[in-house]
Amino acid sequence: MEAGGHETPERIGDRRLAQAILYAPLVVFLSVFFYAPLVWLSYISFVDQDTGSLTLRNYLEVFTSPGYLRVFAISLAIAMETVAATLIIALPAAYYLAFGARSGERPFLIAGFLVPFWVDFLLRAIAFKNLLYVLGLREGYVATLIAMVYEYLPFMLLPLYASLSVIDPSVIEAARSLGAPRSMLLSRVIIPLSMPGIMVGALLVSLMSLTEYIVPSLLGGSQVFTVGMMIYSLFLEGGLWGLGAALSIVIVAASMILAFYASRLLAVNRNAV
Amino acid sequence: MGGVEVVVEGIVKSFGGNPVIRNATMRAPAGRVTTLLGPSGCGKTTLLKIIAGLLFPDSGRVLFNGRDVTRVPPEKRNIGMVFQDLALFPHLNVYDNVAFGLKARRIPENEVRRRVFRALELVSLNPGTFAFRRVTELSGGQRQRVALARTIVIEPEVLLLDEPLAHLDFKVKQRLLREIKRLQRGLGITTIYVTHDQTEAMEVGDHIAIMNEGKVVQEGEPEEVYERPADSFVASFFGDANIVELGAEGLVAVRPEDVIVNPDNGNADYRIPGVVEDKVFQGALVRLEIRVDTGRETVIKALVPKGSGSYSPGQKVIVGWKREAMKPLRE
Repeated sequence: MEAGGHETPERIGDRRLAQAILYAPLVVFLSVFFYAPLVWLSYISFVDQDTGSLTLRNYLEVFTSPGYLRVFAISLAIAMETVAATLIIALPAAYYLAFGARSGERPFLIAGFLVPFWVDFLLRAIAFKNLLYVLGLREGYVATLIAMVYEYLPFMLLPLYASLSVIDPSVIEAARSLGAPRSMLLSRVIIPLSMPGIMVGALLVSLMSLTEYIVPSLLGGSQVFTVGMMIYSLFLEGGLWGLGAALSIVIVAASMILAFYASRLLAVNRNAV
Repeated sequence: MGGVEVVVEGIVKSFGGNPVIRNATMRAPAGRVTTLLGPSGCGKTTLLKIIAGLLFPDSGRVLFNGRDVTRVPPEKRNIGMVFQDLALFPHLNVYDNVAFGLKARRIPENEVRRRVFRALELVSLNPGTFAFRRVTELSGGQRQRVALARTIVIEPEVLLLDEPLAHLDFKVKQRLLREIKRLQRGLGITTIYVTHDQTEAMEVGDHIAIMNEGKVVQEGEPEEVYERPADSFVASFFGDANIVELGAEGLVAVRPEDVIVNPDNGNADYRIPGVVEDKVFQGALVRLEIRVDTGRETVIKALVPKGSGSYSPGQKVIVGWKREAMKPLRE
């Protein structure tokens, strides 16, 4: 593997040690602040808060009570609609950035788009709340959705732009020279070739918006109650740790499954390209 | 089929105030191969894209059989273009790459299949082996064939080839060049073949147009252009040439193969004494570089058969040529 090809066992040991030292700070940090709490969280999700004994009751309630299912449904709907809306808004812009814009104007267009996102997230959400009043919109589902789209647009736009900008422009010229009308150019060439970007964008936006807490609690009013808000209220308002933990574990597992399938699809897609 | 005649008239095209084509006028005879030859950056790819309709000129006209198509988009022109980097669709297999243009024309599926298979056979790719391969699994020569099949399958009126063999090694290039010629003869498609390689241009072209700095500087049959180059650029770009300024004759070109070293009396109309500066063995021929003084110092290149006497650097010789070997140049 290495150039030279005659590594002694001691040398390999040295390299392993060096690698371990490089990696150690991250492992320690994540273990203390993420993996250990996650293990603890999954433990308490199986504990009956009243008796202290192990139980599946928390999960049973999460999966069967209509209240929780409705919260899941709303969160999922908001997440999917956010993905769809960001995709519809970002795709033409990313296309223009990649193919229409002159190389001189491209940095300005990207900066102009990103500047709003340099402002603190919470600050923007609060500003957005006031803006909605100015525009005469009420708190609720639509307001939540608009704010979510606004928050997550860059996470869709940047991967899309990245995947479009690596498409060889002569591939598009080839499609046109072969007689492809615009619709075919889009459906058979541009969208399939930008699939990796679409997948990454959709994955990021859906994972983040599924558990979003700040936007729906500021803008959702009384109609919108999401998984993020539910977890918050179970832990910090209701003191129902077992239930909150079970709900959290379900969301973590769902996100991991989603991420796993998305990355598999992406790998398949990359092989095709 | 017969094919269409392509005429380009007074094309001018700038990008951001930067003139790329200053004034291009040329003709590609129906059913023949026209090579568009020029150094890199002379605007030949841009001119080809204007003929394809991928770019519109600032002024000038493009005519297909007298019909003005200057502002007709490529999808309505019925042209086929092979790109320099091939531009195969990386996400589609060989079959779907070749079928693309037929599907764009809404041709029924069973006919698409028949024509795709026939096109693959025409470019010597066995459909059974290759149709459902990914294009990323193919060799350079095979990818080249797919690009060609994808283009000819739509039966274009005009075939545009932009340095299609640029990235292939010599042997594959020679073989494909012959196949392109055979294919073109069989189909009788008017073809414009862009290249910067003069041997490729001579080999493939029935007609040749030479471009320099955004202009078509000369066009005609290859032999005619070789025998009567219009200016010193053409003389030295298309073939090799000694450009000499002779008092009464003005600026003339003499081909190295027309230079006679140590001519017998009466064998040469012009003679100049010189000194051999370099000698390069080229197989059947030996190339000599001889420094002469024609008022200003010049190096004359001469090609002599390998057995015709031994010359060595430093040796004093006479170079000469016949009157008819001198090609007068403009400027």
